[in-house]
Amino acid sequence: MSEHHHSPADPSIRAKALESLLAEKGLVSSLAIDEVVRKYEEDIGPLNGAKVVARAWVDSEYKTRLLTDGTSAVAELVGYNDDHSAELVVVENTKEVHNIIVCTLCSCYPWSVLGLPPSWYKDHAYRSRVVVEPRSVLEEFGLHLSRDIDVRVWDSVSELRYMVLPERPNGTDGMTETELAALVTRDSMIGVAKVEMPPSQQ
Amino acid sequence: MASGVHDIGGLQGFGVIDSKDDETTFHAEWERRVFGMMITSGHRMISMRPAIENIEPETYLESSYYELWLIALETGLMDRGVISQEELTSRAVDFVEPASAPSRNDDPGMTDEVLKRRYSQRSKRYSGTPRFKPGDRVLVHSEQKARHTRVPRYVRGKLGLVQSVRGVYELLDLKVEGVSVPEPVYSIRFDARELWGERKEGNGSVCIDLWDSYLETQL
Repeated sequence: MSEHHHSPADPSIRAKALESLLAEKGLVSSLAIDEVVRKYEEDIGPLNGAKVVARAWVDSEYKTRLLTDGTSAVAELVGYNDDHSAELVVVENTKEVHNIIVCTLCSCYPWSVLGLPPSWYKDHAYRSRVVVEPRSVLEEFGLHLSRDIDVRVWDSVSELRYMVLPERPNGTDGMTETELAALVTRDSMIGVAKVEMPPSQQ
Repeated sequence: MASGVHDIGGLQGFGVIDSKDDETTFHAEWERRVFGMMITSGHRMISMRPAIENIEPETYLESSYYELWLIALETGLMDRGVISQEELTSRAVDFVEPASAPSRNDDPGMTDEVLKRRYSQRSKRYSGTPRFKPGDRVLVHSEQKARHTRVPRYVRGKLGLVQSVRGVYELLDLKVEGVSVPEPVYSIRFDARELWGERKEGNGSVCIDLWDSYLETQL
């Protein structure tokens, strides 16, 4: 291990020095950096995943495609938004099975459908605990699962990324696809929450 | 070879999850630039994960997410001789004044190339014959052979069940050394009791995708 791993300077200064050097050497494109940052701040977020979930709830053929080849089925609706090395696998929550995603080795996350991960997903506490005591972790998120539910934790350590297809809540039969998408939260697609009807419609 | 501090699954003592800390984007401008540098070009010039895993354990645990990316870029690019510590140190002096902006490279050709590469392709497909099929019982090698690997410590030496063949992907242990060895990847399911023993949480399992050479047959 080399000794330059400690640098006392402020990261904001170091980042400017690094970007300047790489720009001057022609190794980064400043406009491309501007564009990917804008894209992840404005365009790519959990709404992509919500559209996918809502479509799967109303269209059983789409749902079959989504569970068979998540990458292609997502691209049908929202295009290819991710680093092209990542393939997406969608796992379905049912009355018997509850799925949760994590990456214990780093913070792999399905960017194409959920955008960038929330801070807690990258924290040591979530990464260390959810593989050992998923039910306790879910309790901290306010989700209580009965003892007979089979809890499956997906530790996404390879080139594949995971997204949870949450259960469609009861009482949503008359809702349109757009209305359904509005119910779907980021946390439900990570697996730390269920999709709920808003209190006004319950 | 043992695991690094990043291999954190199953470790105790990190406390309650701060689920209210919900920030998904950036806390500061420098985080935007570090993120952008890494995902447009940085990850093609360095091996990002090994560079993060090489960070000293104390620094790893204390640093924020994008600080780790910044350290990985600095050290990875220095190790490859792309930049030097002297260049970084002398260039940093120019930015002690917070209002000063970094240099830009606005070459439109490079911009197009970078963005097209990122958003228009699907991953390259490899072919290979799987050694295992769904329903096979497999044992994960207990020894870590490569410096960088994608086997978490908590499944080493454990027995799992093959659920499906995910496809054929370059083995990351060797890809980071510049060697391409495509291998089948399997989704393996481990019963929670196999991993952690009897516990009060009851039934459950952990599913992980593992490369062929991480596994051996268990009859």
